[in-house]
Amino acid sequence: MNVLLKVEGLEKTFSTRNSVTEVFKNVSFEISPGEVVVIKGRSGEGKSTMLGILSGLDRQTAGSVVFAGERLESMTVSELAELRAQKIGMIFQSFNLIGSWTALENVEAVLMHRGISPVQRRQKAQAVLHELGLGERLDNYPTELSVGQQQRVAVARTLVNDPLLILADEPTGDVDAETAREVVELLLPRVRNGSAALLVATHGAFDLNYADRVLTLANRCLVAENGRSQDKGVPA
Amino acid sequence: MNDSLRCAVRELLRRPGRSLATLFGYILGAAFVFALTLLLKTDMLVKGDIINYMGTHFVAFSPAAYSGDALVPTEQSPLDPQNETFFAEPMVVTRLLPKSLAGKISEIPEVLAATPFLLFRFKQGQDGHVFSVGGFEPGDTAALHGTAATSRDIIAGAFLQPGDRGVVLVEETYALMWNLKVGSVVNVADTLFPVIGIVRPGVRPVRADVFMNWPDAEAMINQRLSAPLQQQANLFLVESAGLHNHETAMKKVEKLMPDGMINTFNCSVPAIEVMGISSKTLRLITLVVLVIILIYAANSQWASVVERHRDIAILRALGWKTSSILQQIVIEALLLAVTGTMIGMVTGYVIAYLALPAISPTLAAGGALAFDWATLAFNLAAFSSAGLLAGALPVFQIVSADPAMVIRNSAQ
Ligand SMILES: Nc1ncnc2c1ncn2[C@@H]1O[C@H](COP(=O)(O)OP(=O)(O)OP(=O)(O)O)[C@@H](O)[C@H]1O
Ligand SMILES: [Mg+2]
Repeated sequence: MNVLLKVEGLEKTFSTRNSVTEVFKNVSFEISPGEVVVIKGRSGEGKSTMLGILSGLDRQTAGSVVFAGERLESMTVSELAELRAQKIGMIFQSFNLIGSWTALENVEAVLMHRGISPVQRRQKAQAVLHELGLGERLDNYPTELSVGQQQRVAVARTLVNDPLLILADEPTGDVDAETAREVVELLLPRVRNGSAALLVATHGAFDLNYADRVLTLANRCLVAENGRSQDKGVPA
Repeated sequence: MNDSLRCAVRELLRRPGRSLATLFGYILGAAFVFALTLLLKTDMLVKGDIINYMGTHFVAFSPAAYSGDALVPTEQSPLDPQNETFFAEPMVVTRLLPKSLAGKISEIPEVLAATPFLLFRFKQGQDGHVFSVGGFEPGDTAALHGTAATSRDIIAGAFLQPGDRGVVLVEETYALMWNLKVGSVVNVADTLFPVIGIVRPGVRPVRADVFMNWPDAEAMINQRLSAPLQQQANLFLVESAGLHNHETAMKKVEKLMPDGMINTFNCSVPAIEVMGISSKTLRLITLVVLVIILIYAANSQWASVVERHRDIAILRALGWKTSSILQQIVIEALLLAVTGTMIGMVTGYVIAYLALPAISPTLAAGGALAFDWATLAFNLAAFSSAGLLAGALPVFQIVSADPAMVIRNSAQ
């Protein structure tokens, strides 16, 4: 199977004022379409930082990320934005819904400025929200929704542009186990039919039974835990 | 572009309070500037009409020295100085000057046209009444139009043509007094002249009872002088090249005349100054209002972007480009500026219309408010540019809304 995401020798350090924080280094792994990969690690190990780099929101200090044949580090900011808009779906640790926009508007936002007609855009967003059981809450603002519903809006926003790669940061963090499973069940079909890959970052709440592979971030390095295929997570 | 417009409208409607406040700023500013402009323009238009009618022409002459009881011209002297003389106004006796001076006056750049004029008071031989005769070159209409008489002033018969000889025009009141009609005859220096036309010149700096062609006037006057005229004139009728040249033209002509005197309707000079002040003040006030509006709009636009800092970061994280976001913000600002300015100008027009009678009943009676599309277009352009600037200013805020911040931002 062809590789969707290839990470090699990834390293990230933050230089803040007079201190330098090395988050991780020498991280390498690959993800293929149809795979569910979990990155596990304690708080502060750099899971969110990693997803930020993979989505092109942040830049690595060293190493390379090749996504769908494109080298992220050689792309401009606006090319990265384009890439996110077209091919990457993100569920943030905090859902990052826009508070003054309705559920429908939040989902539609992903399809804006891409030459999609308003009618088509609306239909698509409505369809995804319906699929996630929010058909009745299209015109509600995030504050009028329960946390679980907000999370589903965030999922809808992630799925609406049919991404090749779904990056989920603690997607099951703040909800009960039942709701958490529902969210995962909603994400999985896209992955199982081979149209996307799912990369989940979690400190443990995510049910590892869903994972094809689990990578662990610890002591600034990535190690493979239990995987069917042997991956390239190499200790330093 | 379409999406930006759609989002801009949505955002403006989402924050009705802020939008209305900004809109109101534009309305207030545009209404104020537009009303003020209209009122001042109307005022200037009326003043300009008055000044153009009576202010851009004048009569130049050299007054005769006053000796004892008699007013004595120095050169060729009238045979009957008590009754007959060269004059400008009823009490002002004038000297004779070379006729060619008119040519020199015409050469002054601030002068549009100049023509020589003979104005002589005769005593009628039969009944002894005195009357004035004006001798002129009827072809010099540009110089005659505002000062003496032209074909436009004719109310009966025909105007004098340059080649006409032995015929005269008479002024309306003189004609009424002596019951003269077209075809009647007048007696000038014991010569009879048929009347070919009657004129009503209105208010002019030079007034004559009888108008003749230059050669006729010269011949008749010569009969009443100690020595004949030698290419001389006693008045010069001058038309300035526009309002703004009027003052300079008068000064330069005055210098050409020995003991020069200028007769004009002097309201023009202060009026010109006042008008200068009004238009400069207007420009200054417009500028000040524009700057205030710009600061006000920029401030509110900036605040609206700061307020949305996190939202902007999220949108960028979702793949929106900075340019799309900037476009939306600029459209928001422009929409407010354009609608606000349009509403403001309509309001300003209504205010000016209602205020005009209170400010000046004469102006209000004088007719419609001055309305020109140029002012309208200028205001719209100026206020829209202010809006554009106000909208483009927060670009730094937009760029600084780092999408990476949403990765760890836990504040929902
Ligand atoms: N902008 C920054 N400047 C300096 N240090 C940073 C910055 N962002 C993150 N860090 C540091 O990088 C490390 C990794 O942070 P990150 O948020 O990726 O952890 P995490 O694994 O996602 O933790 P959690 O499970 O709590 O979400 C932390 O030590 C953090 O302090
Ligand atoms: Mg995290």
